[in-house]
Amino acid sequence: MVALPRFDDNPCPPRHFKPPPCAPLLPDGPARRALETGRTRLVLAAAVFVLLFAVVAGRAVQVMLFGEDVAGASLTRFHIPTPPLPDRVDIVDRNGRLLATSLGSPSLYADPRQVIDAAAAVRKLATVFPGLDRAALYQKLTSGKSFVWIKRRLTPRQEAMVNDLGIPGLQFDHEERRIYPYGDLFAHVVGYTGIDNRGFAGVERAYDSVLKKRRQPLQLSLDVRLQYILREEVARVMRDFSAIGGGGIIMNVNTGEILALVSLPDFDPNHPERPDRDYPNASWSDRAFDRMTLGDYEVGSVYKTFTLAMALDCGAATMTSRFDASHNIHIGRFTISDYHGKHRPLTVPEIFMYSSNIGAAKVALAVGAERQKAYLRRFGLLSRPQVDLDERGRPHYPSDWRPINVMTIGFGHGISETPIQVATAASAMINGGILRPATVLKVPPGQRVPGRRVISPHTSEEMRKLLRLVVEYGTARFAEVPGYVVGGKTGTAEKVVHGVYARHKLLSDFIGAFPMNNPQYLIYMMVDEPHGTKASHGYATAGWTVVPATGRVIARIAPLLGVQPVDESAPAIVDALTPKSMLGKKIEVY
Amino acid sequence: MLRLSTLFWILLVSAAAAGMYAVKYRVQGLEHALIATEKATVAEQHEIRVLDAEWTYLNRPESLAQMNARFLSLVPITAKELRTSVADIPMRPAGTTAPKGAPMTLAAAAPSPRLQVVPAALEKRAAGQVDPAAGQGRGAGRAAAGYRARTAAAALSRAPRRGRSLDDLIARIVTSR
Repeated sequence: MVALPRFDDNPCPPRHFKPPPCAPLLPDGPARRALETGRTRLVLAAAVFVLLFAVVAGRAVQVMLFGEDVAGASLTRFHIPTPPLPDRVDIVDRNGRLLATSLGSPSLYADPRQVIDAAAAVRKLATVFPGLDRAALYQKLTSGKSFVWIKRRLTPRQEAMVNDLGIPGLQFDHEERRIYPYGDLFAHVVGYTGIDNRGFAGVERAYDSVLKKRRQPLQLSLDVRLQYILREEVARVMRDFSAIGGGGIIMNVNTGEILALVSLPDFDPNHPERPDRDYPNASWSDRAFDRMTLGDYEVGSVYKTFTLAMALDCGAATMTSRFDASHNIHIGRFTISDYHGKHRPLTVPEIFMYSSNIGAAKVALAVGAERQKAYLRRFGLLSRPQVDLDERGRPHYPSDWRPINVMTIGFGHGISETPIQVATAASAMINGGILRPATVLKVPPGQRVPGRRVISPHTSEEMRKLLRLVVEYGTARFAEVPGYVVGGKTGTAEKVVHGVYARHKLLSDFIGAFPMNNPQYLIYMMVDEPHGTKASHGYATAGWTVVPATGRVIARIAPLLGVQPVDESAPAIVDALTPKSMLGKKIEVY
Repeated sequence: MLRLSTLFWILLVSAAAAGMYAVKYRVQGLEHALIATEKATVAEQHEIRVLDAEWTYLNRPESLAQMNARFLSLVPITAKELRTSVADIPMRPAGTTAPKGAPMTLAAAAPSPRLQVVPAALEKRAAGQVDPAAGQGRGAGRAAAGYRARTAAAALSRAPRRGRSLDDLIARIVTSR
């Protein structure tokens, strides 16, 4: 710097000397320029600092007044432990009851190198696990390996007890396991998972990826109470008639929801491979087989429902048409006869009520092969069942549709169907004529389910009358439950064994619905190879086996479903459910 | 030269440092507490899942049926008991009692002979006697309910107390493979 000469440059000024107020002397020349440059630089530097502080202040104001994401940014530093989502979400029934859940279960392992006193450890562990193999465990703990399993899948109490022992070197590994609190009740429909939590059957399999992705429980259309009642009654029929199998379906006819689905014998999905106490002789493949969706059976006279519906719908027959059932039909080497023949011309309602094979065969002939095929296809009876489960069987029918096939298919022989598609198609026959695919997912109340019209509303109304007659006067009188106006159709078929009908291997089934004045629920029940008993006078036909069982099911479930009982002898109901031609006449009982 | 302002700033800075230390220390403590609480919440949520499964297991229809058979003897409701409207329920004229031997409306509407627990009061009334304990003319149903409640309470008090049933649940359905 240049020394600036000042007039008051006195090295020893008096103590109170103040320079006189006059302009300081400014140097000239190079000194002045140097001063100017310095000043400019000072101003520039100050400006930069002011700017920086302004930025800092501005940011501070922004953060304080407007918050910004500072709070969030700081919180991300801490890991907030959220409950780890289970590998698979829960499955619940239509009322929110837990059908399947995933729980972590601890497994105990040890690092033998860290176990100080193996003998003491074995002694202590034996107090927690009484059945422990002490010698084997001692050997494991002294093996010098770095990892040995001690026990898999402990209960929470055992876990706490092992922790209390405080043995060094012992560790828990938590792995998730699928738990089915209802055990074998929902075996087939909910299914089960393997050890790696992969769905192997039922909903667990069909909705495998959904269950892994979802965050909310999956709600099914099933109802625990109905499932229990249905399973109990199916098991009872099987026991009473020493049958080898059985099954049942309860459906909502207006939505296609499956409310219950039972196939017996079954298994416990908590440990599927274990032999079943109730069915010790059934093989695993038999128990794992879902008879309702995977199995296909000749359903017998139940099929007449479809034959008459198509005949009435296409105009091949009316409610007053008569078909001569006085003589058996001989065609080729076959004879079509009636089980309890009336040996006279029968009207259409009589054919249905008395389950006349001859009559149904003649009705089928009147419909004709082409129309019969077209209607069956429309009812979904010639393709795989429409249901959202992976276990779907397929119907079997002759590729060559000859007149004899037309006739036998007319009364349900020579064509096999899976029960679920029979139930689905039968729902369409009574609900006003709309076919809706079966589903295991809950339909929210009030939501309308789209469907396909397969018969006219008028035909459906006639079918309701016919089904009601069967329970009032025909083969299914044991299904009557006072107040619930039940309707239905029985079927008894001889099973085909090695290509021949086996005389004493029957399959009895029944399709029932209630209340017929306003159909809401349909029940399909089937029993495989029933044997007559003293109480049934030796009969093993549907009317003695599954029909009374369906009646018991309806009596138990109708109040649960909130169906209001009515007086079925009230004129309004009788008028609505009796064919016009039969009103006021005495109807001959089967 | 230590000026007053310098002293002021030094004090201010140390005060700020001390304050910040205290705040940071407290925040750290709170963070630990937060994490601990959240861990506890997660543990509780796990526990809730387990208890849900246990509750469902204990409410299986077959075990409810067994308990019903043991304690309550309730029977399924029948259509007969579900009258369609209030008009269907017959009224007894005010101030009168049923004549001797007349059929009791309640007895006629009684569920079914399967119902084994017939309250003594109801039997007496059906036989035409008036049970003073049941109240005049309107106590039969209530007496029946009381009878049921008492038997259920007595049966429950006799029932052996069981241990924590979660272990029963898991022992039954999740035993080692």
